[in-house]
Amino acid sequence: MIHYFTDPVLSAPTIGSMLMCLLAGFVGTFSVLLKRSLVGEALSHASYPGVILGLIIAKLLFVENQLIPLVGAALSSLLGIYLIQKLVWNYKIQSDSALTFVLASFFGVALVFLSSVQTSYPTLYREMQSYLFGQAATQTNVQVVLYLVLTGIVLTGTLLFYRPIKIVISDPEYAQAVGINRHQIYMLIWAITVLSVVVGIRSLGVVLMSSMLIFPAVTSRLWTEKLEVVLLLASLLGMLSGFFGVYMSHEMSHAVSFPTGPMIVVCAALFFILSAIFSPKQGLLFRAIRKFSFEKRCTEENLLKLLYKCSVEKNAVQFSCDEIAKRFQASLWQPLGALERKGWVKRAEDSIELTPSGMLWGRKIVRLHRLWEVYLVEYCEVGKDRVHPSAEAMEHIITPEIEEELEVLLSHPTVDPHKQPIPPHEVV
Amino acid sequence: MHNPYWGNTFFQFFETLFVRLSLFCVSSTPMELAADELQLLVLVLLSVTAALIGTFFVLRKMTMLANALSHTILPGVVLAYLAYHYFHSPVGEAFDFSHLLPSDIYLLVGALGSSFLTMFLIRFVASGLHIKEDAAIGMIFTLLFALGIILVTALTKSAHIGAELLMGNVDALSLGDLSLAWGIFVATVGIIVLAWRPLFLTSFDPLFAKMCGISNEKMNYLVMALGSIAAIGAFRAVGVLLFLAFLVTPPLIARRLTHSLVAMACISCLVGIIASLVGVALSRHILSFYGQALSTAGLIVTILALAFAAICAISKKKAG
Repeated sequence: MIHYFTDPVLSAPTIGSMLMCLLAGFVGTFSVLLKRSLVGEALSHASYPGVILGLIIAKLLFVENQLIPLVGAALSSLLGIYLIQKLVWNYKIQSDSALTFVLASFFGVALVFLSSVQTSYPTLYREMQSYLFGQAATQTNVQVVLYLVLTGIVLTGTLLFYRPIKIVISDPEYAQAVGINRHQIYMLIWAITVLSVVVGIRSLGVVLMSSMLIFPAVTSRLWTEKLEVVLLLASLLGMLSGFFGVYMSHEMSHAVSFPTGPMIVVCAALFFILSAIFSPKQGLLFRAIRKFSFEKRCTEENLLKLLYKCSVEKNAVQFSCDEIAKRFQASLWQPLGALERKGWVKRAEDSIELTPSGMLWGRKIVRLHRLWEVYLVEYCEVGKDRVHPSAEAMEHIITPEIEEELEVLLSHPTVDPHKQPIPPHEVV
Repeated sequence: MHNPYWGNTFFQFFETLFVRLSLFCVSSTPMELAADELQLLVLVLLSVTAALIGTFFVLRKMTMLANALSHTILPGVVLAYLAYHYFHSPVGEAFDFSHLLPSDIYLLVGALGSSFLTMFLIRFVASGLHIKEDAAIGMIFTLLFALGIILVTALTKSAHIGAELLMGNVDALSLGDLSLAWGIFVATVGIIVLAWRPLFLTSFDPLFAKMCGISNEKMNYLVMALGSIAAIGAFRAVGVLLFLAFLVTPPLIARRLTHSLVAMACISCLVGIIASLVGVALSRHILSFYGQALSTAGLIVTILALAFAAICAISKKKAG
């Protein structure tokens, strides 16, 4: 794997793609957090006429300059964002329409220029087309150095304005109050986005560029909320996707060829899918586990509540299994086993006994249920007959702190709205 | 056949068109369509279809979904080609895109399938994982598009089909494309007329529509389906990205001139037709005078963009 960095043919594309994706991941974080993810999409498409014009100018001047199309890309991309802002602010066009309009119109203009060289300069035409989906393999050391410089510029620019950027992202109203010009910060962010697009179109192409502005940022957002960490993680994920994209496209291309740009996107998407499943906070897997264990606890507590109510009704602690099974609507055995393990019930042949500690817990649940009913009736003015379903859910959720607050707020009630006694508070 | 438009300038083009149209109306002998007329017809049909649907996309603020759709049609189309090849080619014949035109049914299923998949995935990522909708759109369509490119490149060893799909080729149109464009035009107009009331209501007042028992969600899917069907007709002629300009710009122009939905739809159709006419004539003019074959679709999009800029400038003055 190390020869990807040492091999003279491979090293420039590898390092170039990694740099480009690092920068895109870093810069994209800002637009994703500002909820303007699709501006990058419009900007990367808007750079295409600049690329085409740059290539034509380079051809007319007879120079083999790789810089001219990139300068063209930056200029037309900037024009694109200027038009978008103008349409949205001055002409009150919906922002999505403005983005789509600029994206498609710039592409149309690009096609007019593109078609003008189609018959006369076929090689130039093919080179222009290569900017559509990118051609990582053709990157040279000169370009890598250029990317390094641009990355440096972007990073210093961001660090200099880090505080205002962070404030604008996290709290726009506060930003306004302390006199930060929001529009300037937005323009700064779009400017660095344009730079990252310029760096990226060689390896990813104008069509796929926007994906690297979005994927790493959204992926790292699944893991953490701290801006610094999101930025670091997004840069890292971008870089890794860049490397593995080149790696996979190189290793897999034998009989059939796998293009680098799309492979980079697929890598970034794989990182996203893995994070979407396994991230501890928002991941599908852990969310499902949390949901399952909560539901399990609810069933257990409902059973405990039923046992407690039975014991109050009959003034006994021992019940036959059949009777409980009849009154408990769900399946009995799984929650019963769990309660037994916790030492709240004891089970004999075909009878269930509620232990003193089980009794305590059951009382606590009933107490929370009835407290909540009182609260709903007195403070939310809900009808007596309609409070039960809400209390059924809340009895599993109320924490001791909330319990105490309710207690104080309702000045220690002793009966619930249905005239049933509320058990007193006990230390469990 | 000799093309009567050969060497025409911009105004001569319209002259020839007018003469041939009058001839067509009075003479009983069947006339053959010239290449320019074929292009013109297909483009006019497409632009009217796109303008009609685009009106709803713009009003419902769904144009970025249209953008997503126009990209994700690639894997759908590629799979349609593959399926056609699988079912209709003799065993052992090498797979070749360029000699194949899958029947319309395959394209239809491919395009509808990919658009619904796109919608579904975006909905899943946005609500299932609590990710902002615009980020979800950006992720899903670039991923599906990348997969489409990989599929194409792996099968044909060049990304040419992908580029063709993005840019279209007006000169490669055939009579088959014309009948496809007709079919799509008629179907679109029919569906829009039938579903006019719910579309109208959900576009302007989703809440009231909901009270009337009309599901906004279903109408979103309907608009998306219409968009994807129109994209099938468009991708060979103008490419999916320029189709987007056909979809968005005429309604945006119309929106600055009127506030009524019917007027807006009519004006955007008219704008589309005029832009197509001017574009085809201009492309012929440039070919005759400068010997330069420019992309007709690109020219039309440029004309539309300039028209929009002009309208903005004028209406600004009026307001000021």
